Amino acid sequence: MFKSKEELRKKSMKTQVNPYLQTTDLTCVASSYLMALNKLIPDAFKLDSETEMGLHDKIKFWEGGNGEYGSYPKLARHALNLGLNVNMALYGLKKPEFMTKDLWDKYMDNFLPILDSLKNHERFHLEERDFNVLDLINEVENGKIPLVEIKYPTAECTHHVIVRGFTGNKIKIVNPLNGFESYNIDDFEEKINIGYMKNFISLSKPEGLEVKLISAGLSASKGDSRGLCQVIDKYDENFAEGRILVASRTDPDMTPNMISSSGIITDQGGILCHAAIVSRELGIPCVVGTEKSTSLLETGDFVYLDADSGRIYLLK
Amino acid sequence: MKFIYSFDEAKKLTAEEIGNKSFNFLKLYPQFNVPMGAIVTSGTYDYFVKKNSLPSELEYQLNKNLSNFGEFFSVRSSSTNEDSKKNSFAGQYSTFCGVKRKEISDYIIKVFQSLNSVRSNAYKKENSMGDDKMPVLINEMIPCEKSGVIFTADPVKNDRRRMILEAAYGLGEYVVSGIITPDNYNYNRDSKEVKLKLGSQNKKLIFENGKIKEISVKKEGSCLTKDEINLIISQANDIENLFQSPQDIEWGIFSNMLYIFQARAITGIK
Repeated sequence: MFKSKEELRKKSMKTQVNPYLQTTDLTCVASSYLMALNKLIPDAFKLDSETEMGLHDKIKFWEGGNGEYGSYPKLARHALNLGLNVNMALYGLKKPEFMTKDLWDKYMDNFLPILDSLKNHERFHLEERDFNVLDLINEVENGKIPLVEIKYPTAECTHHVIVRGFTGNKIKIVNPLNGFESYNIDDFEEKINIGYMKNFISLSKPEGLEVKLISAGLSASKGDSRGLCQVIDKYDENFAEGRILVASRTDPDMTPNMISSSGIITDQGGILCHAAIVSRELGIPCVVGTEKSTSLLETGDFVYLDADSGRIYLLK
Repeated sequence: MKFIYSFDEAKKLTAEEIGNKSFNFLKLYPQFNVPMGAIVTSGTYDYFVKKNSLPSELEYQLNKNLSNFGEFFSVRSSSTNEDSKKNSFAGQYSTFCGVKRKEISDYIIKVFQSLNSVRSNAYKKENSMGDDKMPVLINEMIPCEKSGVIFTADPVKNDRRRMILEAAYGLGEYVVSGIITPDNYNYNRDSKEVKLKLGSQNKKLIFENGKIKEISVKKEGSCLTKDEINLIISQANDIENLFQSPQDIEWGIFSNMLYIFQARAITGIK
């Protein structure tokens, strides 16, 4: 296992592998997983979640090179349209031994929030035939196609092959890591924060997702959260579990809602007010005193709450 | 049987008998300027639960203990779980302000009943606390001109070199409940510097003629003066030394006097 970025670089130079490939990106994980299964994998591909990557590295892998790789939305959309229950599919996956639990959880988490907003269908090209990867896998499983070698597969393909349990050695993936290209950091000045924060936003960027800073306040309880928000002004029994709670302030009656939320945003209040104290106790990220969040956000908006910096972003 | 104790008498009682809030409160007395009053024991709560009414001696004992103090009081929950080191139970139990002397017993019942209210149960479930008892702390009502909270450590960054002071005009309710955004004073113990972040306050609560009223405020600049800031910080420092741990302190200023209403360990800090 590599302990530092420097070691990572050295190691990768030795093995002629781009250091950026050894990141926690889904595609990379998927590919590495695949390669491990396929016994193609040299030790150098093992992932180390404890490696402290710099911002550059993170952006590089989250922006995902040319957009083919690391594009979770595409992937999830694909699976969705194929009628695959992506949640189930993902949970059906087994954690490869070389991944830490945290890394694996992160991998899982990144998929789930995206599902809501995905509609279109995409197919990808394979050997001059327009193939649906599921069809392909079915055909392989049914023995119609004896052996497939996929060159330069897309992330979708890699994912599906994994989801379906990587049917023996019948599907062979070559060059799964191809396609990672380095990014010019200067292009991402504005997105540094976003890229760093958090896996999902910048990944979705190529799909046309707009990230807009809408308000800022005082950081009352650290952490970050992304998801759909729900604007309430008093205890709401229909508050959906896991949503980000947006309110002008909180009162003790709203405690059950606060407990089931994944983040709290208030218009008013300081860092010693009720919302702040309770969120710290519950360990939920919280930003207070944003002044206008309840008027700028509507229930159902997709929000990224970065409580470390006290900023709230709207994702469209 | 004795249901009501004066502060001097209650200093000999345990946290089990008078509740955590009162227990911590009495450590401040008489060293710090706290509002005077009396304490209703957990025995009274037991009596209430058993007989579903308050003991008949209570009214007499209330009179005896409170006759020297003002006309209006606040009736505050002091449950045996509340203000524990791990959970503050922020706002979970009822506290009533501006209660007339004659109505205190009605409000004692309301505080007792708040122990079983829905919202408290939800909080308890999450924090897996057992059943508790509900002593009550009765204080003179102080019609604060300014009030707020001071934490003797930065609870967000977990930084003990800093104190966070928040202040606003009027009664403290609006700071605690987050109805307004108070001025935020960030005090650095090393450099002794205070960094001010102005809040936004357009209304305040005042206590006038026996009633709590909301009136509008036109706020300009810092709510606290330099002297007030220094006084609050030095008292907070003393209180922290007294308890030997970072404290969450509620204070108020009325006619140039600083009152300390409550001190408790900061929850969620290591």
